[in-house]
Amino acid sequence: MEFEFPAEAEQFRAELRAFMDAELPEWWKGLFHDDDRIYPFTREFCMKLAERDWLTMSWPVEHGGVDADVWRQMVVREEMWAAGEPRGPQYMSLNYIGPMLMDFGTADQQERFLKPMAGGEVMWCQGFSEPEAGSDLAALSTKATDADGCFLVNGQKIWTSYATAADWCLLLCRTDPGERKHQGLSMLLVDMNTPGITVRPIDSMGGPKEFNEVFFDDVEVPYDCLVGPRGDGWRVAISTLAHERVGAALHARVKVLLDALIEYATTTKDENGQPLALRPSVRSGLVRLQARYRAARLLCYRIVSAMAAGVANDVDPAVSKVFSSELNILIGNIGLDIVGARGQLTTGDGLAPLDGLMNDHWVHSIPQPIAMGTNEIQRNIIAQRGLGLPR
Amino acid sequence: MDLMLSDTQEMIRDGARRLLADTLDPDMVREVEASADGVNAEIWAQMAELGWTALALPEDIGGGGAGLVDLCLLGEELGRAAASTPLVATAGFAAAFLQAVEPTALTRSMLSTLATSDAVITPALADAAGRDERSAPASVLTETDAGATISGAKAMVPCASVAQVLLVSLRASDGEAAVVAVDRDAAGVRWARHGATGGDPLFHVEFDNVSVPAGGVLARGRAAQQAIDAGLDAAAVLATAEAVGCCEGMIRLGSEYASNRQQFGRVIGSYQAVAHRLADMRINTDACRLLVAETAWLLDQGRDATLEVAGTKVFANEVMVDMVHAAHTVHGAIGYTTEYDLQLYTRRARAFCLSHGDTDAQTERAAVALGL
Ligand SMILES: Cc1cc2nc3c(=O)[nH]c(=O)nc-3n(C[C@H](O)[C@H](O)[C@H](O)COP(=O)(O)OP(=O)(O)OC[C@H]3O[C@@H](n4cnc5c(N)ncnc54)[C@H](O)[C@@H]3O)c2cc1C
Repeated sequence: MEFEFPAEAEQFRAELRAFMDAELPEWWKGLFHDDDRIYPFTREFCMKLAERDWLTMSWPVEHGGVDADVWRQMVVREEMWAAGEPRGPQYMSLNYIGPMLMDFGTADQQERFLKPMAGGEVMWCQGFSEPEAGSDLAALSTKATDADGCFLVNGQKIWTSYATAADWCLLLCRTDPGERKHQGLSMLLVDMNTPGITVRPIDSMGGPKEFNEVFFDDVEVPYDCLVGPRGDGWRVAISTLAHERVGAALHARVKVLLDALIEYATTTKDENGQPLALRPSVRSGLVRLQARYRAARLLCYRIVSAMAAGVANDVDPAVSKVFSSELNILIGNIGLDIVGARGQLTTGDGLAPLDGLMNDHWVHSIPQPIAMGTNEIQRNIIAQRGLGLPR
Repeated sequence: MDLMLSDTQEMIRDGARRLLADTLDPDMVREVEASADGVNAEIWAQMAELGWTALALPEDIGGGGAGLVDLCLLGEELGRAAASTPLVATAGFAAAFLQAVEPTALTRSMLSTLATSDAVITPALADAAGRDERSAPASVLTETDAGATISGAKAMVPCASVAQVLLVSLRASDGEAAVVAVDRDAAGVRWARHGATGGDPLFHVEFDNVSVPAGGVLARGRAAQQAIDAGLDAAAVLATAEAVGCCEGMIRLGSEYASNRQQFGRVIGSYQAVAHRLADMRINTDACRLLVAETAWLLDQGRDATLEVAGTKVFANEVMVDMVHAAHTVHGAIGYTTEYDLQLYTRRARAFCLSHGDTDAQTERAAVALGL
């Protein structure tokens, strides 16, 4: 066992931080804010990362990567998530859409789609969830039927993040009737500029553009945009979702918030002139968060260690996802209690403590136990596959 | 960064698991609990014979030259078996304490005894009149030209009846702290077992004018405090590893029970109210184990790990209290019986949360280390 990053990874972290300090504009507060400058900025930022070989560095050389060590890649994930994910939607292509194409795509598809991803030029969105298919994803009903030399897609996706900005959509849909609902699904790559696609933003607590409904009305998708075997899309989707859960460094933001709270508590005095840090509840809250931050980080590293050793399993990512997302909820709530009444004031209000940081985090923590497979579903996985309990 | 166990570490873990599976069953745990000494003496002797209890001691004195990380693997296995041994007191506290004080002929000989035998050296720190191990002692060290003596009463001394040597914290006549090594068999030492919830046998020990052999004062003042802290930190981490083993025991029993017990025509493990509590036990146990490993590793590297030791203990205390009740919930009434094995684990886990620094004490240490 070894509980330190390799020295060269830490040196890389320093370089990356210096780069980000220089590149992140004053107005940047994170990906999930209502600001029209965000998506164009993230594209430029990704292209600059690509120039330095930092965007897809974990990818094999043949696909535009540099075969970087997994810990170097963890450094990127941590630093990006800590800074509010300035890669924008592209973290999805790097972490799992690209690797999915490497696993299931044809040589032509790899040539066509991986290069632009590695160049940081292209944004993707993930069209899986539907109004009637959330946790029960295989219940989806968006259909791709055979037309004149192509698929014709009809149906509706929902909760599709980044669809307003995306160039392409990874679409899971039904191509064939199956005996069971996991059969007959297929994974398509859909150009978002194809006629018949309508994107309608859904206003959310986190802002007006966080996610969307996407309607498909006789959308033509060429046959060469099918990834993996026709009818076997479920297997492709499962492998994609597995990569997705490994890619998350949800603990990294917690460290930023914890440092901000410690600074706030030690420098802010109460009405008696005593620093907040002397209150027993504040001391206890911050100590609990710090220990949990360490645990979340280690649970994430355990997945990476196991992958590097070739002994990955599907229970550890579920454990990590539940723990980290619930820690994000916890720090939002403890943080709001520490900053007190003004914690409800929003970013930009002059009186908002930490410029609304805790309030902003609290709002954006709400969906963490829901997105990427709800925590209840993760607990089912842990109970059934980890503990061998009956379904 | 690499969180996988090395081949050697896997051998230690598997070897311990096999030994314990072959030599200890729950009925023996019950017998040991009811015995006067309250320890699995045979297992302790076998572990010493195999060099396991000295795993973390330096090789040049006959130890294994490994670290606390490795000792914790052993601790977890003992916890899984609900074994009661002096591991935390001796290989945890005493070994770390004796390596932290200024070396003398006596400390060297005690360390080599630990490295090469099944001798038990145990801390006697919490005063009968005080709250815990870190409270200022009221027991006194009196030094005159004729020699030194100690008097007072200590509470919750682990494994006193099988110990050869007690490491006693005292107040010297100048008001400073001091730690003294006395033979448990010295005239004026009396001990009586406490009734207690957990698995480890705890004793009330009285010292009535017990004379201290020459060189028996091992540390004074700040140095004494620091060596006590070093010992307590190692003990806390190792005890947490044992408690993680107890949690594994609870998870094993809970999963087996929930996979077999039927109600309303269904196996209860198919009810999510049951399954999810077990899943949460899995999550928090894994988190504790990783915190233990990282903390032990930092201590092995010689780093200041006050924040990590204290924070790990705070976290473990919090989640283990929940786990104890989750485990009982899953089992219904059967888990409350002494005939069923669950109580062997839950009593130990709950007592653990109160030992080696309770939540308030460790929260305060961690808060200071965090800069609060
Ligand atoms: C911010 C955000 C961004 C998202 N982005 C995308 C995206 O880009 N692309 C995309 O495809 N999807 C996206 N999603 C959708 C996400 O994948 C779904 O929300 C998720 O799969 C849950 O589905 P649902 O919302 O329909 O909830 P439901 O499945 O209806 O669940 C509601 C509740 O019931 C519980 N439940 C359901 N089934 C079970 C069960 N078997 N056992 C126990 N409890 C159960 C759930 O845990 C939950 O608590 C996003 C969601 C959010 C919140």
